[in-house]
Amino acid sequence: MAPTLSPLFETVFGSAFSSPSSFAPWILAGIAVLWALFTLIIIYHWIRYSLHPSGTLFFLAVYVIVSLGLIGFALTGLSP
Amino acid sequence: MSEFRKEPGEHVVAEVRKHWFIFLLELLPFAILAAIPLLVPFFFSFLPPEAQAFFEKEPSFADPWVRFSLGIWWLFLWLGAFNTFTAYFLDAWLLTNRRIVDIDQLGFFSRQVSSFLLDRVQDVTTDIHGLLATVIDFGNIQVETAGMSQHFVIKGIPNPRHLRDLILAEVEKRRPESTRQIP
Repeated sequence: MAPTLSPLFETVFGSAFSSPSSFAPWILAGIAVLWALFTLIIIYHWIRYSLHPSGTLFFLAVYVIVSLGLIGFALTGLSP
Repeated sequence: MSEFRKEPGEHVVAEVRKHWFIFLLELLPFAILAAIPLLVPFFFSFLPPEAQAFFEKEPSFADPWVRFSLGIWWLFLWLGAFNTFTAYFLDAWLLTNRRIVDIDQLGFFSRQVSSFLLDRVQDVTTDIHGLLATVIDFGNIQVETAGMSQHFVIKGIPNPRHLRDLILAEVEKRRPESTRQIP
């Protein structure tokens, strides 16, 4: 008899989706890689093309600080 | 800044970007998408009891899943919004005493830079349409150049009449004495 979807899901993923912390290592790694990739692209464009170097530093600092704040907020979901 | 290097004796007269109002309009979708999750608990209470029972429990910010998902959602919206700001800031028109440089940052991997000498400028047209554009003072400028079928257009810039006057003044300065218009 073919397994129903729910037991099959349980078999494959186990308790991976019971809470964010149960699958955190690999999903966080994926998100971190995506964020880092976009961040590098943004920084590259600002440094290469901006007509105002002082403005570049300021705006990149704002970008990084807000991003880290949001990452910190997301991480509060991982605490038990 | 490799596309724009000033030549000896060249100086920037004006640097122009899109009007802040246009930029805010471009940011609006991100603000709406960011606010939607905050409104979910409010609208949840309006659902019929059967529908509420389907979701098992009311969404709450105390739930780790909600906080985690919300943080990631906002992080990627912030990325998108900053991308929009990058396009706004790096997309500019430079008027120098010799030429006009049009820098179009169309996206992260699409950038177009064109410049043309002021000597070739034949006509400058401003175009302000609508109530908001008139009140806040933004519009388009179209520059026609000699010997080119293409018109250069910059859209949604603040105070387009002032820029037109600046361009025409610089063009006039570069004309030989004999061809200058009598004021």
